[in-house]
Amino acid sequence: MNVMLNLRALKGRAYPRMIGAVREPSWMFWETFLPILSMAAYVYVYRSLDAPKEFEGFVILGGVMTTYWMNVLWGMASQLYWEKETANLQLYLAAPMSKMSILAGMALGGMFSTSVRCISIIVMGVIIFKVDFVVTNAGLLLGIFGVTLVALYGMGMVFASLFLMWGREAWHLNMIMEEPIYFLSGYSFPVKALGSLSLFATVIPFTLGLDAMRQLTFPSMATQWGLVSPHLELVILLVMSIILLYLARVSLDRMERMGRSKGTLTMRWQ
Amino acid sequence: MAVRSSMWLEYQIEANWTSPVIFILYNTLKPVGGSLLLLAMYYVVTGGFLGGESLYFLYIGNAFYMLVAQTLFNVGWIIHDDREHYQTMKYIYISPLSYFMYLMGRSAMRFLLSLLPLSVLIFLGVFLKIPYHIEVLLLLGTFFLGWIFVISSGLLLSGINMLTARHGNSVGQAFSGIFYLFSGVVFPINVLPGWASKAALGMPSTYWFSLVRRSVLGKEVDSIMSGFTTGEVAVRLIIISVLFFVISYLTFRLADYLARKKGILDMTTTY
Amino acid sequence: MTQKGLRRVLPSQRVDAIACEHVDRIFESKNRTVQALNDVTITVKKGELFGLLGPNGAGKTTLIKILTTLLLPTSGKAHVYGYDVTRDENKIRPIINMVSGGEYSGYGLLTVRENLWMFSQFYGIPGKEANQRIKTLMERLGIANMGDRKIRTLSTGERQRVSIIRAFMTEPQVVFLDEPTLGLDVETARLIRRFIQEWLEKDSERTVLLTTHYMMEADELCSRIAIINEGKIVALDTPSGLKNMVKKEISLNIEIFPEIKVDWLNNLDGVIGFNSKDAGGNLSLRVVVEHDAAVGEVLAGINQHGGKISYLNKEEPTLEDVFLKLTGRGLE
Ligand SMILES: Nc1ncnc2c1ncn2[C@@H]1O[C@H](COP(=O)(O)OP(=O)(O)O)[C@@H](O)[C@H]1O
Ligand SMILES: [Mg+2]
Repeated sequence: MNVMLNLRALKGRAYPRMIGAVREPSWMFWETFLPILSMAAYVYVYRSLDAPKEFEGFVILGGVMTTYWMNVLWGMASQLYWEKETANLQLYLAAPMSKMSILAGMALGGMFSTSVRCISIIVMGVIIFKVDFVVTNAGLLLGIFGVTLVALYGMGMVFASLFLMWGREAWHLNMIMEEPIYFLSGYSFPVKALGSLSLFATVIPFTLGLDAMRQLTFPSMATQWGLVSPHLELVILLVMSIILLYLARVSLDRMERMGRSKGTLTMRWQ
Repeated sequence: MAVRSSMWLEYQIEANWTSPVIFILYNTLKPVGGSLLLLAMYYVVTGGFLGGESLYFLYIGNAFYMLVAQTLFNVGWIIHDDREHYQTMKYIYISPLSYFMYLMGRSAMRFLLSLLPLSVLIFLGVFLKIPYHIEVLLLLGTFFLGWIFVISSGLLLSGINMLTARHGNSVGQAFSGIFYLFSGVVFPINVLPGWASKAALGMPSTYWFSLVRRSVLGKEVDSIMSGFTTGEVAVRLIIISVLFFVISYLTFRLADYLARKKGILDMTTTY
Repeated sequence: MTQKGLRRVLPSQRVDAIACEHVDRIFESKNRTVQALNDVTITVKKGELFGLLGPNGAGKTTLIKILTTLLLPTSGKAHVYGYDVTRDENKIRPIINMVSGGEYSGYGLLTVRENLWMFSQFYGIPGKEANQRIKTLMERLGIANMGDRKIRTLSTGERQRVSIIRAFMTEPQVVFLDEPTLGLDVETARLIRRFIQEWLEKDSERTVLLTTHYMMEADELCSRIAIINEGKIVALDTPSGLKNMVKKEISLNIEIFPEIKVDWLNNLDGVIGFNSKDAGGNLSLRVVVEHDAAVGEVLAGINQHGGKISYLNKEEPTLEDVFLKLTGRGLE
């Protein structure tokens, strides 16, 4: 594997994403301002029910993690399909770099706008909703956050090839990967409330990540609502990351192989 | 005719690609997921109790919100998809079918298709023992007014889309978030800060959701909205809807004009 | 170069740039099966500009996709620089590139230069070097001042030049050009042809495989041409060798008024093939016949079917006539 080549390819694909965000500032409205509104609605649901303040903080953290999830779905999972539709995929495939660096480039390039949104969410949480984050172990928090992202984007890569093989308009699939996944992962509530279902929900990487981050920022709720200890969650997430990255590689290869034999890699609109 | 053919097209794109079972599953998973999310929130706050006025309020609001969200989700794609994906926008645009009527047709079909997941949610509400008290005539009228409201929003959104880049996410989904927050869908509008609940009274959606509750639950529990009689709500909704439609229509026309002036009817903006 | 290095280069030098042996490709979908390639065997030597000539749907693009590792052959073997397209795609990709006529890639929000830079990164070209190559090529192809424009604002010919730069900037050993002058005006097409020729002359190792359905283009550019029809290679030779196949034959260009039916030509003895085009109420007919006697019969037949001849010309055989002879139908 040629490291320089793949780093350059990654940079090459990240660049349009960053430039795009700068050149088309309308994303600020669509991808930051508006989505924050729907999230704020969940905060008000808790207010209307006189829930403890910490639950509002749960929503804020859920908002941060689902932002990455959205980026995984819309900026990555559906992207190979979209690249095919715009005639770029064949050039990507005929080029010598690993397809993973293309996907990683998309993710990193999209990280700029995603992070702007996340920071806005947190700022809004602290300033408008007056949520009190009590960070007890910043190192562990950051570690869990980072590993969760790796697992999440690894899953995105798997999806990218699955969506392409599926051959259907990828946003049909994205659509059902939103609310149902929000529910399973406990976007706006502690996932422990799902009981045994929460065990099943942990296949979604940010379920555990979110649960751990909530324990580490709202320690008063940790004993009642925490799933397992954050340290254990970190270990599980690490294992998941490795498995998902491996799966990503395998599925990208499979996708390419299958596409080449069926002749679907270069056909549009199907 | 124009509307019929675009309705047919929407049906082909949205429904006719799979078996009815998958179609229903696929169209109901998202709304059901959204409802479960709210139920879970209610559940953790009440310590395991699922019942009471607030629950019915948010369940029904959320179910009907899906009508708005799903239609806008799709309408939000039409322009960008036609322009940059199928690259058919210019051909539809120059055909005798007016682009406006084309959009009307497609959003009408999507609205109709979204009635399906809505009925599933209403049916599931029976298990939550929601005290349905359906006023059929009022409900039919509500659907009609809702349709006007949704297509007006769709038109406004399409106008904006004509001038903006295609971003990764679904803009329709993001756009409908405005209504989710400011119309008393899942919580009473008095929970909002003062300025926001005043603003809510200027939104057609606020009155629409009030009519929804009146026609499905037979009453209104929102403390601000229950200050109005059903007739008053309906009249206000009609007036604001007409205004909203006119504004949306004019915005669309202006955007359409600007797009041609700038020569961006067939631009591609991916990144 | 060290002894060892030399030895490593030598064996590959003997290898052909492209070698296809009995390549079949079948597309299967629910209600139909298409055999896009049928027993295709060709070899292209290093340094060649090899042409693949055939009408729409002949299988040209399919063969290019197989050779550029985008598609697997259903059966048969294909090699590029000695590497198997089925197994060694990772060795092939760094040394090839391609252009598909009429297809533009990249991102709408980026400028021409940014799009090109991005593609150069997929080949691992260092940034500075990439910019330098892009600059040189943009000058060479006459679009030096368009670097900061969005692709959307370019004309068809300008876009095609950008695609050419995208393919050649990575300094590939083998370039696949799929109808590179499709839909271009005469001048732009000529510019691109000249560029391709010069690029080849600079290094004897470089190879181009070009597909086209323009006769003249194949005739002018290619050292050898394979004529492909319905997935089969029906002839393979140098342009003059191909034309020799029809040396004895006579090609007639006839303008007929009014537009009459000409299918009776099929039953006429001595007619090898014909191709007719509507020319604004007139019929423009090209017929290849075996001998002088047949000429008279053709002319008499036209008269009999109510056509008047407004123009008649006997021509040197062209590749078009070769194609007519081989397939009995026209190319365009
Ligand atoms: N992915 C595909 N699936 C099904 N049929 C295909 C596919 N690609 C090409 N074909 C068919 O294969 C034949 C050859 O096509 P192509 O190679 O594109 O021809 P050319 O490039 O010479 O015009 C055509 O009949 C075409 O319809
Ligand atoms: Mg072709």
